[in-house]
Amino acid sequence: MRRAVWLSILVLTLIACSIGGFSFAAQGKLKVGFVYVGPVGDAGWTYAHDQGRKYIETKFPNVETVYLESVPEGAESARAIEHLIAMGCKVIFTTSYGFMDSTIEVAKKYPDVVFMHCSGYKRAKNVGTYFGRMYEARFLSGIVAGMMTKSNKIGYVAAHPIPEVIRGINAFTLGVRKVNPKATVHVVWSNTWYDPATEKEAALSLIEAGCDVIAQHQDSPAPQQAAQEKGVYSIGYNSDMSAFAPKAHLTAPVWNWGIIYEYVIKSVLDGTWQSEDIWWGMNKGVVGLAPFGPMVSEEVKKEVEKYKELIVSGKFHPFGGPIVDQEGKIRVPEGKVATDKELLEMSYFVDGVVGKIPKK
Amino acid sequence: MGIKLKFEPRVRVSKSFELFVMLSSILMALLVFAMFMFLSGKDALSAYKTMFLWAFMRKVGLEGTLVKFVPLSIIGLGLVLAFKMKLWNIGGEGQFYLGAMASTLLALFLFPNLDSFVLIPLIVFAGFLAGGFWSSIAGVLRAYLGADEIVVTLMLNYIATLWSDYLVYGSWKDPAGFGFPMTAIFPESAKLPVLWGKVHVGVFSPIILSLLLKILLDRTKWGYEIRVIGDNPDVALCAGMNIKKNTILTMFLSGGMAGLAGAIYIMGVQHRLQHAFSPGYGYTAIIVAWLSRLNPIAVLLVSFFLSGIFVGCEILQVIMKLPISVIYIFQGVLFFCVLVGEVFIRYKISLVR
Repeated sequence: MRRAVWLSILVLTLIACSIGGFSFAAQGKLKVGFVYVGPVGDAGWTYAHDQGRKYIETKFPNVETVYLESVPEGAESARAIEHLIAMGCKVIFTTSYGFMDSTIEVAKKYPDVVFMHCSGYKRAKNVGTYFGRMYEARFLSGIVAGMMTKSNKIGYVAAHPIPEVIRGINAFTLGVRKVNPKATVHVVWSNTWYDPATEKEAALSLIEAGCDVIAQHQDSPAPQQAAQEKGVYSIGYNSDMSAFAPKAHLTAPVWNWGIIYEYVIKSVLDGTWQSEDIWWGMNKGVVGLAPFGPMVSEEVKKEVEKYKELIVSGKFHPFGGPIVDQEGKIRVPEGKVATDKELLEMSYFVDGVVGKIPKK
Repeated sequence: MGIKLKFEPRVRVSKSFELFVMLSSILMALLVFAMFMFLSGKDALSAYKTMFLWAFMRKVGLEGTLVKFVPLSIIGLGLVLAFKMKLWNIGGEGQFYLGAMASTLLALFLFPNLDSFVLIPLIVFAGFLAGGFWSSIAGVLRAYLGADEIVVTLMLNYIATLWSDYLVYGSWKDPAGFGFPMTAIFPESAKLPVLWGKVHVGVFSPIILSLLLKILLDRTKWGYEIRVIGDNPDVALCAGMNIKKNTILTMFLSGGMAGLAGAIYIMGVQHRLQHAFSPGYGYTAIIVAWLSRLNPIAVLLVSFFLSGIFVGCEILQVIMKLPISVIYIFQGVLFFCVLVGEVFIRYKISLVR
């Protein structure tokens, strides 16, 4: 028996020791790393970022990309970033707010690497931030929902109660009420970003309550599938989710991260990159709507097109006053537009939303 | 005329046989996964090389391995104690959260101005108490009502993580944080001194704790009682051992360790409470306790090895361009093989006609 133990130790050690050196990727190429919070196949948030990554690979032949997926948020995400730097990455995109502190911390150690953090607010000399004005596309999808509903009850499966999600619900509701002042938007919190089972349950509970259009904020297409099963309409998010619910999917507010990634990589290659806060909207094409389903009428498409042009040309702002909250208090007075700071810190629901933000 | 497998429990198992089965299970897992890799056209050998090198030989990797090693081994030690008494505490995650929450309460709200040589021991103690409090709920319910501690500790995990979410989304939210679900950063006085890169002084605590636990279990009367109650409660009862008291006390200590791990982790690495800050240490620690066959010293080795595997797997994604699902498969195969090995250790298996 003792001999067998030694034998197995020996074999394991041999495996461990059959070590060659590493050969790192080809020289001369700019290596770009991505840190993702979810799996690239989530059909949602991470998938959309990964489409952007693929886009820059085709756009710049001299750029090579690598990524780490399903990286848990929190302090240990710093290690994921350092793995990428050790692999020779000179540009790092961290694509979730929970990577914010780690990004700043690692950036201090590597002053010659460019860091871009998505959705955060902390910047440094070599750390920029980027995000998109998704509320513009949310507003348009609200118009679609408002015109397609028959019960005048629209369901919204909300993720976590943070300003970004609240802003989306509000923009969506403002779109709904623009075309259908009688309709209300019913919010259920799943407290998840990616948990298909919970999200589907939440959608089903809304349908049960009489909602005939389901919108969502999570990264999984589960609410879409719930809508398809129950024969109601749905609005996706992040990417075109029509493949998961062809009969239900009206459209989806979607991300085109490739546009921002192309801009950043180009400026790095040109040597003109500077830390900045990128918050681009529909005018740059960073956000938009997925193709309409066949059930969406010409009339609806025209209405959407009208507001799209107004938003792109800057003549209309979804959060232009008067914006009234659930209690009837005026949050943005007539003739004013919500400032970026107000948008980023938004913690109230507008009139027309049925549901509550968990209070402190 | 069928051939049947016959399982006979082994009466005595030698240490070297255990070790042999353990090592060959790992070897088996490596082989199975290598076949899988070969079939999908990847080079398994270089994957193993990469993993090993990165997790144990490279600075970034070794730092990560040590960072994971600390919470994993401390929670694992706590679980070993409970499992010895056949108390299935699977609430390590919740107890870990409770420890982290108590630490945050002290560091940010109660005593932010204390000096670190007072504050840090205080937080460690508070984390211990909080984790212990959480698990003794299950202990008391088990002792007095006979409630199944598996269910209770599991449910308490959900309550703890939701409670923590309630705080970080609510009143503990960093006022300067644009509504992100995280507290403010701890004051400097509540951060553990750093030894090397990200490795903090807490790295020694698992070693001390494992020695203490070893002495407790092997050399003290109380350790003896725990083992007897675990092996045969009837005998324990006849011998006049107080099962109720021991159930509660053992659960308290077991959860206290997890809470302690939470305090050390949050002071050493995280420096703030935030939504979903634990990558499931409390659950992984169950595997640690199991793989180490309830031996406190083995807990150290197993958790170091497992931490290395987790860190090594991260880098596989980048170097080998493996999707995360393949990595989950690898980890699954590994755990599966080790559990199969467990069956071989417990039973003598033979074919009978």
